[in-house]
Amino acid sequence: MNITIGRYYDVKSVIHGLDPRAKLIFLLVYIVGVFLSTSPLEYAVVILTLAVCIWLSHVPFGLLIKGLRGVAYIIIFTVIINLFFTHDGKVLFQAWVFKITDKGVLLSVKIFIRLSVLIIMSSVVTLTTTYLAMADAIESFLKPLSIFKVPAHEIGMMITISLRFVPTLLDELDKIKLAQMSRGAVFDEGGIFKKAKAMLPLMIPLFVSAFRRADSLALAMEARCYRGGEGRTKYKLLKYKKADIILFLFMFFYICSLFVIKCML
Amino acid sequence: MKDNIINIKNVSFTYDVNKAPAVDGVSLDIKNGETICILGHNGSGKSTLGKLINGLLLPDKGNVFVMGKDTKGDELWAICQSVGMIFQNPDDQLVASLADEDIAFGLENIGLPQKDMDERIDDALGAVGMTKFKHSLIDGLSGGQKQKIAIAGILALRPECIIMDEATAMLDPKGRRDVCNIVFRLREEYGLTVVMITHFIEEAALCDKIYVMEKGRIVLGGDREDVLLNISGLKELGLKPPFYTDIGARLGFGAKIYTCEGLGDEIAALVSQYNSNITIDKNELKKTPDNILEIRDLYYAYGKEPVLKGLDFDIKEGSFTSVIGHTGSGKSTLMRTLNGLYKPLKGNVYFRGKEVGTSADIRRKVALVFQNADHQLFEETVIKDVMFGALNMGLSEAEARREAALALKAVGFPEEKYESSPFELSGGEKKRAAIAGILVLKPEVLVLDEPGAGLDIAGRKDIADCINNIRLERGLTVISVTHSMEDAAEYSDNIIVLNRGRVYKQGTPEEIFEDYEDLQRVELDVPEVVRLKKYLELKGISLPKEVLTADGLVNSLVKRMS
Repeated sequence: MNITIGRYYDVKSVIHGLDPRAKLIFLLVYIVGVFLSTSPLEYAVVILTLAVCIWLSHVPFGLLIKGLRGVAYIIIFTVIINLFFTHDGKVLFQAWVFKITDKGVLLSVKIFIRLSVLIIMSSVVTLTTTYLAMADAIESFLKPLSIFKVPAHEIGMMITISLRFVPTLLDELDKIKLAQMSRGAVFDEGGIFKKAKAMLPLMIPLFVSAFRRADSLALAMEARCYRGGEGRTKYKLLKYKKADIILFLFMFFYICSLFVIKCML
Repeated sequence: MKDNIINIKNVSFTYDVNKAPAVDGVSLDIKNGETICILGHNGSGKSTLGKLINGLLLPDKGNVFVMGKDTKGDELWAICQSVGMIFQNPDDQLVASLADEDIAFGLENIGLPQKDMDERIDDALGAVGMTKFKHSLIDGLSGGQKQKIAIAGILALRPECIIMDEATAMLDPKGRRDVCNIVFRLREEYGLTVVMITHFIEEAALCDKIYVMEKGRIVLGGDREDVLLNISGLKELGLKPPFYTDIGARLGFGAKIYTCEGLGDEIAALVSQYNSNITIDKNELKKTPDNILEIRDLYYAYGKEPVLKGLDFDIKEGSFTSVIGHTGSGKSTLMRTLNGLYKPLKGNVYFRGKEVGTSADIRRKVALVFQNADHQLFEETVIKDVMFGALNMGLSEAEARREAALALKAVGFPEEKYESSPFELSGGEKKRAAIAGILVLKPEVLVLDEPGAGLDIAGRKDIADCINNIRLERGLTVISVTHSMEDAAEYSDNIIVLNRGRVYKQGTPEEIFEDYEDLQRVELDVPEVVRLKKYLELKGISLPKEVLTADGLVNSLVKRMS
């Protein structure tokens, strides 16, 4: 399955060792930076930053590209929409109702870069962070909200567990698909209605299994004395280290360079 | 009272008020430091009893006391810490992605200060021999290793008692042995009380006391010897008595628990009194059927490292082939390449001389039954589910229904349940429905991936018999992956041993089990019969090669002594 979000890539690297909170804050700032970028020079900074992160993370580039393939349809769809439906600017090509303009081309290229770098950077963060660490980070971000009765711990735990079961359920879906193919099921023929109906033999066993697993897991958690966030201690205390400070400096540098470029133009 | 860690007093529990209670008036005392076994079929109420012991379920009637504390009282929290439970499926009980994080989960729950956690985690990992996997990704571990992490997760809580709820049922023989050894070592080293819930008599034989459950009641129970020697009682309950003890009793040696060597010595002493040489009449039918499948230089890989590395073998028409091999030897992958579900990287599979390709037609002729019936059942009723395959073949509704009924009949599925939901069936019934769902395709080769997985002893025997009967009635060729050497010896006429993606050996059961040290080299067991035969051979008594079942062995010895 070509989905890299939710899988953890188990190697040692600077990025793996960073505090999950620092990584999430960085990701957020990076994304904002990407959306505010307009000029080629800004995009150069964005891409360079991504390249440095990938290089430091020791995650193979091929794996990240593979993750991109899973959402290729969305990217291609958005690019095409922008390519054909941007009508201002100089017309480069025109046939029937289709009109491609220089602005359209530029916009599509930008959107392509934006979406790709966003997904790749998100993959870098999720591939280098275990789901428990991720949940801890989210929990600590939500903690201040607990005065408004936001169940910070429960939300964190829910996210951990759903991420934890993504690979298991994907493998399961694979097996179900093969089992139904063994009985002569076809999945990629016919119109939309027929295709949707063909999904039933896949979805029903998958849901039944997911519910059963959820049930067993709940029991196993209870057997290990789980009773919510109250009175719980933490094994891995979140603590900012030297590397995290360097990340924040790096982030500061990233913002500054984007800002400087914006001012210069 | 004081040296009892657990007192169960007249406990009943019901899941569904319209059905019979799952546990029905059970009373049981467990002494501190004792190892007890709760033995029974699937659905006998043994797992429910386990959950009642550690307070995951609370009794409807009666009380459970753990170290004097009532599970219905307000000290459930303390009970949870002192009684740990390991479940069947390793994938459904581990919470985190890394081993140490998972073990820490329980410690976090009980609010242990962070500075004490590392020591507890290291201790627990050391106790299960998994120290070097501390920072490993759980997804990459084998089933047995995952269960060891689960045990470490419970051990870290420093419990008094550990309940193993069929914790070995999903493991291969090596994993099962490993996990068992660890649990019994823990009893020795830490004085843990162990409750083994299982349907394996071999595991029961390791415990001090055995209680057999059926329909929610304890129907047989007491010290190990008393229960194991009650051979007729065990057989009446559909349980398999320990092999050597059973053979001893059948040869008239009286009630005694035998090891392989002990029994062998007695047989040798007895047989030496008779000095008859019996020539065994061999009625070998010399016919060589055609090859229905030919596998040539077959390679398959998921990633870079090939899983199948150049396989070559033939399958004769009408034969029963068992494929055996350790976990990860490529058995399941091989099954999926046989009918083109997986396209080989290199090499080919030929069906009746033609390349199989990847068409739907070949998947119908060489049809594969997957291990987990839950992966294919989805319709509202059993009969509709079985019809699914027939409808995919283009049959009309009426024809499909007729074919489905025939298929269900062939697998011995009870007619009154044709209209039941497939999700309400027992494990054995689901398996039959799943096999019927494939039979309806009218395959020429029936391929099965561990048909006995997840079933209890009686259920496994039923399914194995059922498959063999269908084969004889319909003249099918059967290829079956199995972990049970006994089944391989009893049913098949051809065995393929896989090791690390290669054919290690192929031959008749007699040939394969001839050299049992060789099989152990590739992490496989031999049937107990073969072990006994080999021991007798050392003592100068040789039995015919084709004796590979308990019945065959007893008959052959009786013949010899008459």
